[in-house]
Amino acid sequence: MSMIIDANVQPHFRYNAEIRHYLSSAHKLRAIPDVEQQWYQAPRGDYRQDLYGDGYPGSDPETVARHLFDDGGVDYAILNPLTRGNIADYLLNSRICAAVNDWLVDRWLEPDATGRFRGTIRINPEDVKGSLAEIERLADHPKMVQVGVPLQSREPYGKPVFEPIWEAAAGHGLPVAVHVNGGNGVDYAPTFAGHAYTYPGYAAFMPLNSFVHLATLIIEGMFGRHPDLRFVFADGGYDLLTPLMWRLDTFWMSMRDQTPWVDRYPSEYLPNHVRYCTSALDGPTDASQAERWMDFTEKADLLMYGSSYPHWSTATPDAAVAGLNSGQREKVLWRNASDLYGVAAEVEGSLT
Amino acid sequence: MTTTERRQEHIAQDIAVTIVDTDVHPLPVSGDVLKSYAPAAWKDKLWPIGNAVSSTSHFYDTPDSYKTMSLRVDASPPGGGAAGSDPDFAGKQLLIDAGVSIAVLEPMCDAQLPEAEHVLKATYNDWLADVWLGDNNWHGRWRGAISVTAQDPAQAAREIERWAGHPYMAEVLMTPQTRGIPFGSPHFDPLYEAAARNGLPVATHLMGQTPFELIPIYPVGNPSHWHDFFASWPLLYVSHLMSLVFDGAFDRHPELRVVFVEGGFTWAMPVMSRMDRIWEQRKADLPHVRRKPSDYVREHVRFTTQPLEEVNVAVYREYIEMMDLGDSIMFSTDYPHWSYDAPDWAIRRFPADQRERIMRGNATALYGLPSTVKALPGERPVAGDAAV
Repeated sequence: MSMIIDANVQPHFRYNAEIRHYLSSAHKLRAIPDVEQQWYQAPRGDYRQDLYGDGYPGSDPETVARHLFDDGGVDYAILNPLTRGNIADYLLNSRICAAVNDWLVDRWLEPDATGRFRGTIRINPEDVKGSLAEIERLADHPKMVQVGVPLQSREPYGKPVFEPIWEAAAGHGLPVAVHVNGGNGVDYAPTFAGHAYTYPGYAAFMPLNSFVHLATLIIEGMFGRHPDLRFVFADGGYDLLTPLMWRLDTFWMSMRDQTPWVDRYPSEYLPNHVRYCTSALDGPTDASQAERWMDFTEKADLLMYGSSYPHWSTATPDAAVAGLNSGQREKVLWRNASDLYGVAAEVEGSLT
Repeated sequence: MTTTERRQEHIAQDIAVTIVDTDVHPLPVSGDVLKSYAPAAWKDKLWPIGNAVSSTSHFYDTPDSYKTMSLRVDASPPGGGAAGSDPDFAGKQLLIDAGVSIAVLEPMCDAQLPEAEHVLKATYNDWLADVWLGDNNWHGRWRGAISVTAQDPAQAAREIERWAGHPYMAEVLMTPQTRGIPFGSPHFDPLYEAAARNGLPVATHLMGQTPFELIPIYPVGNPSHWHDFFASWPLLYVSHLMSLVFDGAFDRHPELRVVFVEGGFTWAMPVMSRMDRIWEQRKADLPHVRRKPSDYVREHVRFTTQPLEEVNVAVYREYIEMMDLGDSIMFSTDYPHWSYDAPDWAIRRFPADQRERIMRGNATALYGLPSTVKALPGERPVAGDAAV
């Protein structure tokens, strides 16, 4: 069989104030950053120029369904809406996350006639109690298939403060998707050397920060203690996975006395715990190298097609698997996502 | 036996340069020796350790660091002093026993305030020139780095000029821990301009782990342990490299060469393709970047090898072959630090057709090194291609 699961789609509000319909009166008049109000916005807009119109790109379910399912040949799409960055008032941020979740259910998941959209429970990790409450509130919704957090954080996600959140997600069988959540909030500079001076300098580097989350999740023992915990790094950056995991394996060998709970090579945690979504910035520029390149660190088992629709860097399924062999294509286009989310289990059963 | 006696006694043969080590760390034999090179007004200001007994604190500690201070325990000179403090003993271990032909010495030092950083580095330069690059370099096997402040690039430029023309100062050394200023910033232009004018590459190497402001703030917060901290460390070099290209430093300084030391090199190809991809798609945002980003990297940037990742050798070789960066990689040992890579261990990890360039050729071309050097007493000449 062959099918396509798009594991990374960002639906948007039709207009900025729409979120206020989903906030309680206590929060309706608070200052909330606009969808594209972020320091590192792409010049001329973050989204595909051809999609700007009456509302924001990606804001009309029927249009999105037409683009993804009819034109793009996608069978299922995992919707992972952005919130508004890590803002100072973490309690307000939790209300924003809840409003986004209510909107997603109300506008996208409940009325969906196609049955092909799945959703993400957005939470704010800076508010651990609020995150736990939000996961409990929505985990049983049949169309919610993962928990979503920003890539931006002031502590890496391996730190113990976050453990109750990951434990709850794993307990409900929900992967945790990490995605750049552009905001105008309280974040550190986006590169290791400080602020970027150009948009490409920001956009090319930012997804690579996910490695710090990954390294700390492994070394702090989060995957060891939670066998069902899965992380999805939805902005790509997997090209750096091989060299950096090689280093983590090498240094772990020397340092493992300090973290005795990590009882195997760090890279051995990848197959059971880590997935990446494809991105337009990963992969060798020479497509003839793509197949072999994917084999390093066995990335074909870790990768799921993600379009990033409606982002300017939206990638088609064909572009995402250019140069790969048929086995790799199958894994990347749907099998890995199907295994992770179980969304296509019924379809798969009828077709294989 | 004094250096003079030895020089008279030994009629040195010339031997071929086969291995250049681009990352070696000399240490002063004591704080007092170093202080003797400092300006009088600074003698008691540069080492503000108060009542602390140990002069180095590490936020991220290496194995058994209380005992080892991150140094090879077998590299302590028999006559006393820390590993890397005795040029003769380092010469025996690194040049004779390990077979290194020429080694580039990169002292590690850092200070908090801009003026102190400059004075400390100038002090190290005077010490290095005297103790390692003077009479003890009768064999010409040591090369030195001109340590400069990154906080005050105009001061750094003057320090570069002070040493330009020295026969054994081969490069400029600056910290990558630049307090939030990426390498492509015009802030560094005076430093780069002076280095390029004098044909000196600018090398960068992890410096002190103290004070805390010198540890880069990782964008999503800092790990707790050395292994996740240091496995992520290459991303600091990735950040600086992207800035150098995207912020136009190589266009402003066509002769500038940058050497990324001890931060890995297997990430280079994926980072180059990443930069090429976004440049292709967003050229309008980068009007000043006139060439493909990877072209700048191949022309202007070198990476040193240590610490090599411990990977299946065949897989590793294949990966390096695919990277096709045989002109950009230079061998290094990190002697006398604990994670030392021996030349004969490292060489077989490189693809056969890249070995000569990685072990010798790229460094001799970059630093303008000779093809032969004097043999040390007890050192047997080897055939020119024996190491390869």
